[in-house]
Amino acid sequence: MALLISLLTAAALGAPPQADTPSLHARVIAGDGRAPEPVIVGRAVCNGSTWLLNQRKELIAVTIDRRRIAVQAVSGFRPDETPWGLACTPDGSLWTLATPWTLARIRTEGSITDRIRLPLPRLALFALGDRLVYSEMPVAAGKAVLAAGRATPPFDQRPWAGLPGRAGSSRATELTRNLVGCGIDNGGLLPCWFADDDRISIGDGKTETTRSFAIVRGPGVDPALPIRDAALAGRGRVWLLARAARAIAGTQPGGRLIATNRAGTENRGIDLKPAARFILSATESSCWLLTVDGTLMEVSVR
Amino acid sequence: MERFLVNGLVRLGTLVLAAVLVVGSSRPGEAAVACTTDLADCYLDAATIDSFWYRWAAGLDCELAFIGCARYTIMGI
Repeated sequence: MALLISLLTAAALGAPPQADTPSLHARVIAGDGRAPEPVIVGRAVCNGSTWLLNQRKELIAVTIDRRRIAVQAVSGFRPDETPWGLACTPDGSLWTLATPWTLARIRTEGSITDRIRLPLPRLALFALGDRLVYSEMPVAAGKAVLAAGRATPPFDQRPWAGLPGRAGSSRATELTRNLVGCGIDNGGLLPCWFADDDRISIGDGKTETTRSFAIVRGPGVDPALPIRDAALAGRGRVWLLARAARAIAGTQPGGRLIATNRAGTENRGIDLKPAARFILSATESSCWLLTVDGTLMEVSVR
Repeated sequence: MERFLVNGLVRLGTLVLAAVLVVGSSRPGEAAVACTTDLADCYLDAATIDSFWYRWAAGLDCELAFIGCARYTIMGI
């Protein structure tokens, strides 16, 4: 009897299971232009536009307000350079790693204007405010994976709070376990995560909060690489793009979008058709995505 | 003689490391199996370089190439 009472009490006091409320609505927008197919190596958001850089060394400007996608070749890359990462600073400069040793400034008109030789090779590139956020060699367990500094010398580099380097059973595993992604910032906070984890570190480089967003996991989501992209918006909105378990044309796009809060207690999700490559822009109530078809998609909270 | 022994030990260590790289891979490394194989081969080539610093630099290049491959496979879309 006591057991029955305690079970009934627990059921009454316990939180109801989180239901996946059908409160997100998606629509594909027939805008002006279409993003090309080659792999996107970086995304930056600034000055009302979202910028993408692809493997073919093309700069893609997406202006959500105008529903416009404009593509232009970037001149000035050397033939042996394979750029990775894209970051934007408040002066409107775009930055990429032309090589791990070379930071290059790209004008929004599509030309490289500066090349900066780096003291240590960098592996990923993001930005928060006027500081570039990056991972660099050496990658080691316990050492902060990210650092932040000015784009130009003296870099005034400082370790980024959160995401301490993780050990691996081999050097290859150690390197892959420390691959990091960062999403779209908001309110001076940047969300960053390890590729194989559902925990996201949200911080400004000095202080941070790391929280598990296990709600990103579910049927159809790759359990080994659950988070494809993330964006902070509004007063506490977190948009999560979950990586599809099934590959499309050899890559794994985002197959599901989840709207939650920073505590991870809210759970509204929608399966995306077509699947999405990246989050382009986000507000409290809507999230804009680039689909695998190269079109724009808007997902709204209803 | 001493230099010969040191070089030999470093090369042996690199060979062992290369073997461990292949055996020890796991997800998300599974997504980058080809990258891991390339890394092991690259380490083996680097191990044949006589100069310590050139060998170290070659090893670093191996890791940068591996990361470039792995992040493309895992993060790129």
